[in-house]
Amino acid sequence: MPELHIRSRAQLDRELAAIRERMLVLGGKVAKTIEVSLRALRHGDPELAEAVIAGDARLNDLRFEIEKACESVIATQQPAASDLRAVVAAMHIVVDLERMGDHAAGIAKTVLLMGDDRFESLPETLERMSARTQDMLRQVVDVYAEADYDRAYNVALMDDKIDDIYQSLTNELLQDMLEDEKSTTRGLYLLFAGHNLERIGDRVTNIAERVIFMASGKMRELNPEPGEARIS
Amino acid sequence: MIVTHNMQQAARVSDYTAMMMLGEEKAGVLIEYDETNTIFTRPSDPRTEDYVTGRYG
Repeated sequence: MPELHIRSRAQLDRELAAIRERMLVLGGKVAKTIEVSLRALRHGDPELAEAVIAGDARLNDLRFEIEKACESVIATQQPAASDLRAVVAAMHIVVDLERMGDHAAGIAKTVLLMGDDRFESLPETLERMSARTQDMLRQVVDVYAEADYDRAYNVALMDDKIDDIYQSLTNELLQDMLEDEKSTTRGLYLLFAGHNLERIGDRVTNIAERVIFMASGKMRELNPEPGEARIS
Repeated sequence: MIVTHNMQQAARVSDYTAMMMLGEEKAGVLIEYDETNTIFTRPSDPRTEDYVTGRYG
C-alpha cells in the first residue's frame, strides 16, 4: 500500500484565519462608523460628521487589503471546496461592508448639508429603524464569524421589518411635508438618512446570503423584489 | 481517463471526477463521483472535502 504524503495546510490555515480576522475588524469598524454617523445626525454635530467622512478612507484601505489577501491565497494556495467558498464569500462580503461605510458617510454628509439646522429629536420611526439596522449588522458579523447557516437566514428575515419601518417613515415625512411646507427640508434630510439605513439593511442581507453560501455551498436570494417569494 | 493525486491537474483536465480511496479489504473504493466543478467546490462526502482541501492524503 503506497504511503500518501501529508500536504501541509498550515500556511493556508494561517492565511484564511488572517482574512477572517481582518473581516471581523472591518465589520466592527463599519458598525462603529454607522453608530457615530447616527449620533452626528441626532445631535447635529458637524465635527463627528467630518470624522465619519474622513474615516471612510481607512475602511476603503482595509477592503483592498482583504481583497489582496484573498487574491494571494488563491494564487499561492489554490483553495478548494469550503476553503474556496470562504475566500469567495469574503471577497463579496468585503464589498458590502465597505459600501455600508459609504452609506454612513452619506448620513454624515447630510449633517454637513444641514448647516445650522438642528433636529429637536429624530423621529421615533427613524430611531427604531436605526436600532434595528445596527442590531442586524452586529448579528450578521457574528454569524459570519461562526459560519452559522441557520442564524444567517434569520438575520436576513429581519430586513423585512426594516423595510416596513422605512415605508412608515416615508409616509410620515411625506404627510408632514404636505401639511407644513417649512418641514420639507427637514423631511428630505431625514428621508435621505432613512434611505441610507434601508440600503444598509439590504447589504446585511447580502452578507447573510454569502454566509449561507460559505457554510453550505447553496446560493440563495434572500432579498426578493416586491411580489417575489423568498426562497427558503 | 486519468488517475492522479495532483488535484490541480485533475481539476484542469477533466469534466468528471471520481474520488477513490483504499478500503480495508480492497483498493479503489469509490467515495464520490460527480462533475469536476462540483467535486472541487461543494463535494458531498466529507472525505472528498478533506482530500481536496488538503486535510487528508
